Amino acid sequence: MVVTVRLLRTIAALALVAGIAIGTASDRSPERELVRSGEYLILAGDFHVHASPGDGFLTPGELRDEAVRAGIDVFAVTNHNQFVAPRLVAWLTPSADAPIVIPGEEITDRNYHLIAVGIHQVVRPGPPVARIAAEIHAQGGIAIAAHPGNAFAWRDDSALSAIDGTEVAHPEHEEKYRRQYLETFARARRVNPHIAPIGSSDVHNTPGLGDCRTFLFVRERSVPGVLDAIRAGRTIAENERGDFFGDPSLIERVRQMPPRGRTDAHQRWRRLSIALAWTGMAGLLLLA
Amino acid sequence: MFSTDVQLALAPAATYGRLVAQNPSIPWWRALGRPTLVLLLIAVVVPMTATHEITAGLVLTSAVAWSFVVAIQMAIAAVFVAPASGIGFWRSMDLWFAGHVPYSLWILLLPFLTSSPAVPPYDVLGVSMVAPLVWTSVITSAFFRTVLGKDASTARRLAVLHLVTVIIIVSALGLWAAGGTSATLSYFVRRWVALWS
Repeated sequence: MVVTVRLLRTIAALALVAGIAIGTASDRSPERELVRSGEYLILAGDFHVHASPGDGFLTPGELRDEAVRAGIDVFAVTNHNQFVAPRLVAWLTPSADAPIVIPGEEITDRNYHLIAVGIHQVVRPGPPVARIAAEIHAQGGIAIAAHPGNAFAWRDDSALSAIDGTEVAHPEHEEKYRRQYLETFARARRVNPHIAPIGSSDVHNTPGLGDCRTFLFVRERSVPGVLDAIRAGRTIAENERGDFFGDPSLIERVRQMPPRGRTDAHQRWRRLSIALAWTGMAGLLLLA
Repeated sequence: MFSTDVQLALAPAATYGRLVAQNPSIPWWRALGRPTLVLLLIAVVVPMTATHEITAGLVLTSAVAWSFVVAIQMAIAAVFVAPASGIGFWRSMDLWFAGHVPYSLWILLLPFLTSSPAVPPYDVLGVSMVAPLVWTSVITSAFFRTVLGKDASTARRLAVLHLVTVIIIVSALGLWAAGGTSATLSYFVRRWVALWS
């Protein structure tokens, strides 16, 4: 009996190790090529991403690796009303080829959620939106309305004219929310013609980084280049169904030369690695 | 076939009684075995849930990032097992973590619990967490009775106190991560309004 239990334990441990080894060996994404369209580079971005420590499961470093798999060139770490995970961005090993990671915050007020990208310290929520947007701008950042449904404060034109972008593509199960985001964007364009259409995943704890994404037309692949493109409204948004929103001429340019999306070159090996590691872990728990 | 910990989860009082009689004292490093297994479980399952990938790098960084969860569990355990009688602090700590199976199973099932595209993952996690909370209370009550030698009513009171402590700590962490009390309450109000409209 003791021998049997030991044998089962050993098999479970080997399955776990084999799963991790196979997963590590098969985690290879093809090299990302920059897409140029005229005077601009086209980058794929996700500016609403939650990280650990906070209400996300992955650290900024793990998210950067996930961004490579997801075909994302730039993303912002935006936790609710706190700046612990964004501070870890400065600790990431610099790499010219790696996706750009920008510290940010999802400023979470009972009347609105506002994404701040490119800030260096926490911004406290409070009314009105225009004052909070001014605080973000004073830090050199940009302000984006997060999932701006009817329940939020985005019926106020002064709020829409104070911000730089609005999420028009955001993962939703209900059509009414999708319609509300489109209506908010249309109203925002009337009071703020250069407001940027933004697509964001709002990812917390399940795969989905870049499921909704923003394509940016940047002059240089850098944080200032990215923020400049959003301020100038040189973006288009794509939702998880592949619908585009924004300037038709920019949409056409992305359709002609789309940056590569999520890649899963070793799907079978990846699935095998997950199955082995999970079974091994279950065996260690139940049999050890 | 099944581990001692699984047997303990199914029959806490009888299994604790057998374990206390078997091995009265252990060194500190052996008492860290079960907490280490819990940390390994979190480090494997969290990236699996969040990326559908498993790599050595993900396991290592997740182990570091989530070690605070095990540290908090050990701190709570230390408070409750410190007055342990004859069997010693580290053996008590080891036996306390032997009762981790309900939470371990819940963590192990995270990839499945969060896989439905129709239900927000945090809603599922919040509701499903009731099962390990209740199950663990049964186990801790048996721990206080059998391992620490408390009478039945004191054991029940301590188990409730432990349950309340866990709920307060988890709620505090949840509120902090969600942006504060006001932001969290407004989120739930909007969810309710959306549900009934």
